[in-house]
Amino acid sequence: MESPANPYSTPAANLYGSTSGGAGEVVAASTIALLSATKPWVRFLSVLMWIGVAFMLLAALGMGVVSMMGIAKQVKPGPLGGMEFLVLAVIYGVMSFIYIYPAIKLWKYANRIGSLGATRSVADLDSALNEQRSFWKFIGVMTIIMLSLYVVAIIGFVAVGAGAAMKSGAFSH
Amino acid sequence: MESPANPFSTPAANLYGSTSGGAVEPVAASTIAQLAGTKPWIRFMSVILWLVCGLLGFFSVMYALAALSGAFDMADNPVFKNNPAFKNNPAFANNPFFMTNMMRNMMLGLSMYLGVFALLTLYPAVKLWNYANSIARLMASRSITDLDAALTDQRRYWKFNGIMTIIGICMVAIGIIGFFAWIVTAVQSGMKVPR
Repeated sequence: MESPANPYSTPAANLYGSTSGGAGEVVAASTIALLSATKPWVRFLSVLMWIGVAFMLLAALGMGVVSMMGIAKQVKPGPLGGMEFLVLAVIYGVMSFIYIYPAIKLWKYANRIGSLGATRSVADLDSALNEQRSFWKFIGVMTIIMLSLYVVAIIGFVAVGAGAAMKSGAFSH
Repeated sequence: MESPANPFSTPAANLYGSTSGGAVEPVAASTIAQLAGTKPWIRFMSVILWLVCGLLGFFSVMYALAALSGAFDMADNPVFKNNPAFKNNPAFANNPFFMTNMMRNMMLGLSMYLGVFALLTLYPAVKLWNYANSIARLMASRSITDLDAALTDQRRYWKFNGIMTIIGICMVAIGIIGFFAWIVTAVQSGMKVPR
């Protein structure tokens, strides 16, 4: 949201260099300097996330291939009937897709900071902060989901344990 | 950096409300809106980090107290003292360090380990908390000073995370190299590899 342009205002020189458009507001140099110092760390963590995603996809692919070839069944049939590797492949595949989104957001955040350094426009500052907001929102939502899953798992374990104990007659006098 | 005031410019209403000082540049409303949307998530993650830090600190103190209470000193513990598996085994009986201190030292080590992690969690928790506070101040004052303070806190958070990640990667690399060096040394010194 930009402030409305006043056609009756006096002309003024742009003291901060060229902007992307005539109507683009200029961001303070101190703000750009702070975000520019943030950029390499954000880029670094984004690259590490991409590497993590690639490794997880590789692991999922490898386990999928092993499962398809039926090697696991030949070696030792497990409780899931030799489907352990397929289950792990699916888990790793889902995990890699979950990690892709924050990796993209951090990558875009670093890109937008780069654009901001070149244009100094408020629009670029806003888009950089928007990417950052999306990142934190995703992390927050995932944290809530994980905590909920933990609670459900704890309740499930207690229920299963209590059920097994009652079946075995542990509570009967 | 502030733009010089032009005494000949037309009067204009401050569309973004009052600022903390007359000479303070107002931050664009769109920028404040983006940060205002970020604030609750930052605060939430900060609270989560505080909770993790508190839990780690609590368990660190509990382990330290348990170790220092003497309950895990094995020398006088009849479970070990009268157990022939330990008593008659020279590997344990001739090793006073194991008999007296192993469990206690393990618990002290675990306590230190958890304590270090609690301290490492404390810094990002503080930075995220300060970041959310700075955003709140920015929403009230709309000044560039507060915007810069907020961005400084988030820069420090990312820098800390980056440095910790580098240290973590280095430690894993050292661990892998050390493990293989240990295997090679063991094989060279005559240890047989099971077939």
